[in-house]
Amino acid sequence: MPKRDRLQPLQVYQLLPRTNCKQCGLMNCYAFAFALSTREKTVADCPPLLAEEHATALQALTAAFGSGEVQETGLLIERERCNGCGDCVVVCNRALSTLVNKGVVIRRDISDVPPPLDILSGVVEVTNWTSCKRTLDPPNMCRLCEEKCPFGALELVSVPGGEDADGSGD
Amino acid sequence: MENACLKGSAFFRAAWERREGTCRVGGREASLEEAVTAASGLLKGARNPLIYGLDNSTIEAQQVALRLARRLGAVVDDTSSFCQGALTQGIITGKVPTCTLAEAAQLADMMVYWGANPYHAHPRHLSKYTYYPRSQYREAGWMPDVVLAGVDVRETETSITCHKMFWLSPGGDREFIGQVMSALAGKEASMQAASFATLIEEAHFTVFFVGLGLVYSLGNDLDPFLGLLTEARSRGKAAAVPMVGHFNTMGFNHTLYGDTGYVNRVSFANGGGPQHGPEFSILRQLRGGAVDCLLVVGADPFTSLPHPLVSTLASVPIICLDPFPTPTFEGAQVAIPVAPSAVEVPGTARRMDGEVVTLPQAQTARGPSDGEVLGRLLEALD
Ligand code: SF4
Ligand code: SF4
Ligand code: SF4
Repeated sequence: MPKRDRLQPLQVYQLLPRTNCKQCGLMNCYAFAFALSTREKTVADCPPLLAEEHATALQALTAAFGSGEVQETGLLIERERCNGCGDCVVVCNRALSTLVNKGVVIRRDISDVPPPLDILSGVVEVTNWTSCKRTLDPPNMCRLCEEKCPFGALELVSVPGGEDADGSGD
Repeated sequence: MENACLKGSAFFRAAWERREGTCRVGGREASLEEAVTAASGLLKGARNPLIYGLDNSTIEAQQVALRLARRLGAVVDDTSSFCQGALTQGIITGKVPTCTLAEAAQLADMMVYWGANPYHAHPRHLSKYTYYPRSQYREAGWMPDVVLAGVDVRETETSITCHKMFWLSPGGDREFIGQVMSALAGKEASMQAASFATLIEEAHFTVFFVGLGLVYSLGNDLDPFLGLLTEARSRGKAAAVPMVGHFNTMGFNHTLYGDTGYVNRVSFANGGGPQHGPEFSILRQLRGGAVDCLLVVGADPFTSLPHPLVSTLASVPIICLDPFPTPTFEGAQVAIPVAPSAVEVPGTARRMDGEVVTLPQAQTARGPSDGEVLGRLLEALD
């Protein structure tokens, strides 16, 4: 199944009951939409969603946020979607690309930087996350692997210890 | 093998976990000797035997199979007769320009996946062989400066990855090619065709990866596509690579061509020279009811042939050599388990681009290889 478009928090919000009943423990449905996107909350944390009138919404949200577990790296892998094509491994330019730091171009020598991701037994695994540019200080908001996965099996949901902003990509 | 893609690792796992099957004759367990005797008996008694498959065998085993075919006066065919045969024939005879995957990766500045979704059939096609390796030669970018184009009728993983997608309605390939040709000739054409034509005009080296989507849509008459290829070539370099499904289909086509001058659908009947023609395809042979013994090597016609033919198939005595218990293997009159090529059987094979690759032996063979069994059948005939 090819990649589907990810739901943006606003779209998630549209699917929620929007009653701001606070049963999820958050201030309002909007906060819940964000918490769902970053996987701090799961679909089951919103009890009103289980009502029959929200069945379609529940289905859509479960499909979008139901499976996969966020690793401590902030990378979410839906293993059942991955077929080991290796695109995410080869696009990772942990070293090839240049980093612009205060206007100075720094080229990382990648020759001995092990790849952050690798394919083990046919499925992608995080092998050396410290090689990922997102763990640099300051972090580089790279999202190449996520963007290039044709199956939508990868999602970078949060950056450990960093503000998430949309990445530089290319 | 640890790093193989899901398909690859599933294959290796299946091969490793494969239980050593036992030979069966008429549904009853038998020794290898008994099975070989029974099989050679069937072959000897057959007036019109057909040898089918061999796309998952090493080139060495294919050569033994051809000796057997000659000896028996059998018809030989493989899946390419209803897949990529026409294009492969053109390529092997040198009529259709082709290139290796390495050349594509290093030199092509336009790649077209046409009616193909490598992410399913060949998951590593882009990452390992064609599109992404290019980035090694580019200093700062991960993004190769290659136009990745796709032509398809529906959304796939490949269409998502492609920069430019050209959407056709099912069966619309012929018309689209016609439109592109007229755009190339400076005549009026649809917007889509015109932009495809522009891409071709701007490219220095275009590689077409031809999938079954295109082949089936053109009804196996590749002339329109070949015309387009020639046109593209007159503006720069252009090449076609068939997206073949089995790991050594190309090897089979080359082996048979080297032996007979044809890539598939060959008959050695009547002791004369090899004859070739559409009437010798497995489809036509079965449909005509001519086959009275079918030797299947590493293929599963019960699952891959069109439905109506399966009942015909059920009435033909089958000898099946396969590492895995496929439906054909289960239903065969004589079933002989063999060691899987590329895992337990070393040898050589040809990739889809015709490059010869050496297959290592990853583990000691349990049981005979298909080549050895074919050799024993050959001996048993004397
Ligand atoms: S429990 Fe559901 S409906 Fe209530 S505030 Fe939270 S998200 Fe909104
Ligand atoms: S986010 Fe970028 S640097 Fe990190 S693993 Fe993915 S592609 Fe590599
Ligand atoms: S995560 Fe996506 S890009 Fe990476 S190997 Fe799996 S399917 Fe391919």
